[in-house]
Amino acid sequence: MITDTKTTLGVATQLSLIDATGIAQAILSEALEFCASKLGLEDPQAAAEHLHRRSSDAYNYFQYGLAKSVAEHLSEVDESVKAVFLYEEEATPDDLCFGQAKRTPLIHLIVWAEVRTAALQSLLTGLDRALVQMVAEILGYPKLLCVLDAQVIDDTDVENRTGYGALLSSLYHRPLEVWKRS
Amino acid sequence: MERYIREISVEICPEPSAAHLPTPDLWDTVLAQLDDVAERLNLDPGIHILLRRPERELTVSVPVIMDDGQIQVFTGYRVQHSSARGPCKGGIRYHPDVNLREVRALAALMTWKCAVVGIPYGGAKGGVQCDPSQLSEEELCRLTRRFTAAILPILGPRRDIPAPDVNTNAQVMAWIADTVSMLEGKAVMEIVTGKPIPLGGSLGRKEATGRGVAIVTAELLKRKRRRLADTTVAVQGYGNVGSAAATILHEMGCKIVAVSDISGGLYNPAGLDIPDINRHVANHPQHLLEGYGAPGVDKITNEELLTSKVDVLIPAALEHQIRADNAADIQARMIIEGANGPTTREADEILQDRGIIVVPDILANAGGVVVSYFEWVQDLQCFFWDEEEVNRNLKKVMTRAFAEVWDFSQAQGVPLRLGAYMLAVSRVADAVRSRGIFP
Repeated sequence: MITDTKTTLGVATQLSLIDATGIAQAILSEALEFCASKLGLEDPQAAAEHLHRRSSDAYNYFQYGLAKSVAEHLSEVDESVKAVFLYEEEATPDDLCFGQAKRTPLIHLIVWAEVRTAALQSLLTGLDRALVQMVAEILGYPKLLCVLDAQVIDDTDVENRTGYGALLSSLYHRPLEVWKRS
Repeated sequence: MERYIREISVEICPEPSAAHLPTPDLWDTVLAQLDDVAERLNLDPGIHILLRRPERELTVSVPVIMDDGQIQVFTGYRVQHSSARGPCKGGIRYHPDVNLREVRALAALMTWKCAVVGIPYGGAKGGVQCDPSQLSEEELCRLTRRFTAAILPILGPRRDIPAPDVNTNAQVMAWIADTVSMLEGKAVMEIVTGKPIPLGGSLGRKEATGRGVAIVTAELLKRKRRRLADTTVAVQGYGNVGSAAATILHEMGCKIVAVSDISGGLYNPAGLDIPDINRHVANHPQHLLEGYGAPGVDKITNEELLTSKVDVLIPAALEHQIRADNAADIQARMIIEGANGPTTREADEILQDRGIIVVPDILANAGGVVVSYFEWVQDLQCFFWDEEEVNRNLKKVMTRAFAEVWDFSQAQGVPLRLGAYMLAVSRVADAVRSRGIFP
């Protein structure tokens, strides 16, 4: 589900050597901590129990915590990442509240990088694979196939308002900035 | 006149547009659109100037005691663009980038949207500059209640009725209704729409936008003398709007040959089994098409769906899906804009040159605001309709709205998008003219 049509191939990087499972573990633990703090729970384990019981509040905070943590780790590993946004996929976002609540998180991220690289793409894919297994275990959904729906955009997309780059200045689908390089 | 308008623009738009992003100025865009329509309608200059200015703008500071005991002060806005046709109506959004110019633009767009479907509302919008994901449930509740109290002087079931928008939901609406009820010492549930059903929300709201899309599609096919059973349809986006539109059009007899969501698309030239797909989506933990398979069904990409060989294309995903780079490849002869702004301006011109009919978002996805109006009507009369009645009335309103936009556009010799805006502005101008200028 991680899509990128214009990846720049051949960019030398060390990203492929990175331990995606290790990063995913850190991401998961930070997301659970965030969730617990927002729900006023004592520890991440309590947050995990709320998630297992399908609490929608817990789900919302967990989703945001995951997005924020993914963004922070991406930015540490890949210096070309400029900002990361979280958005909702719906024709009319004001209608979202009338829909059926999802039972597992699907995080729609826009990753704004200076250039698209195969390494960044591969890191996102690796993170998704690792997160799927861990999140599936927490939620009790062994058939979970995807957690991260990440769209990589570059400066040209943003300047020309093309593809997902157009969403950053969208009137109706304005994404939330979860991290930005200062 | 032109200079006068420019001076007014400067006077009332001092705030720079938000942020680090190359955002086109939305209020300028709304004004440019209004100026174009005013010229075509030969609008009275006085009324034109009046419509270029919002009726009322309220900026409030919203202090909130955070969970850690610290006080944080947020900024909130409520803009009423026009109440010429009735009480103002428009959502409240929570987002860090909310700013006055954006809220002002959205309020004006609500004026036109309500006018084009002929419901007795003016336009408003509101927002609080905050990141709701960073707030706890308790903080969000306190923020909502304090913001409500701050803008209450200009709210009311006969003044201004908020609704959910980006990052607000039925829970936020319930807090607003409760806050007003507590402050006024009586039940005022009709102060907002989009409430949970037990608090006076309307049945049929969930599918309303998609149902409206299906109704205008059927009406367009009637005008083009096309039989529903002979019509092939592709739907991009399978969320609330897309899935409801596909399901209802399938029930009407159309052949839905392609659908897609973020996980990809499904295509079957003989027609997809929509009820079977809906069962799959309902059982998928993330409500996606992913993993669906059936004989004759091929996997396609979202891009392939847009350019597939169909009669009707319904973009019901995100903005800017039909762009200058793919507009020339679109094979559908009719496009129904289920999403907000799915067609860029450049693409719109290409489609127009190619003779492709586009039913604009302002009309096509207005089913949601129409059922919000029904919610308000039911709350006011304290009598609630069954879902059948909601759907029957929605059909009546959307059918009439489509007919009026179609006839108006035909008479003026303009595309439906321009016709819809012209009709909307002329209705608001008529209301201003009939009421006169007080005192």
